[in-house]
Amino acid sequence: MICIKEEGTMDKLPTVKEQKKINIKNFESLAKRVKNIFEEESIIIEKMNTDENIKSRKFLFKS
Amino acid sequence: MKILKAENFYSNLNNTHLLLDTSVFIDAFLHPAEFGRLFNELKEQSVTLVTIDPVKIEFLKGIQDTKKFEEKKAFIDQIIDICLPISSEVIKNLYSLVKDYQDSGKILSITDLLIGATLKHYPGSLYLLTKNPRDFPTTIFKFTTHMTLLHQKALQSYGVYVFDKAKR
Repeated sequence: MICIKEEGTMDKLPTVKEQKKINIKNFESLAKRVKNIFEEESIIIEKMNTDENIKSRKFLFKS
Repeated sequence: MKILKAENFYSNLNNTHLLLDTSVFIDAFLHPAEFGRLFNELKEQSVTLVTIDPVKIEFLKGIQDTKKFEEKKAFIDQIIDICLPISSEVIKNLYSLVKDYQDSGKILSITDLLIGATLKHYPGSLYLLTKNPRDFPTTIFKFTTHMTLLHQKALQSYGVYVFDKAKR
């Protein structure tokens, strides 16, 4: 799903015929792998406050 | 963690397009069960979940190998229905938006500006879900509804914004 290409002027938002529902179990499994990737790659998700579950959107990349 | 939706959350978003900011994807992998259910509930309300390439790139950058890249990309693609293109009209809006923001635009990232320019391209019909209300001031964008993430020791708010037709 890449849409970098120029598609001219679009006055109307594109629509999808059928929306795909998310399978929660598969989604949880994929999310866990993605979380591990962020951790493995040393992309630090800054803590915003005392709750360890809360992270900010700011990434710091190790140079 | 629980997601508390405003009373008008679904009714305001029914049958609309909702652009997801990077913060949504981050919270979605931190809390997949809750966000997975939220996305499915939005889809039941005929909400089309969209994003733009700069948001995807912000999420994907920094990967070490192709497999990890594909996994991150698959995660985004599971959530969204459509990725909106950055047209030349959107780029034109980018310049006018920089003027609209005036000096408050100094701190904005190019991704935030492109999100704003895309909202401006679809005034009144494309909504944004973001945890960064500071980047989308109500002098330019219209606040429509909200939801709160209730953690054990904290609260976090998401706002839903749309470009105000009257300001186009």
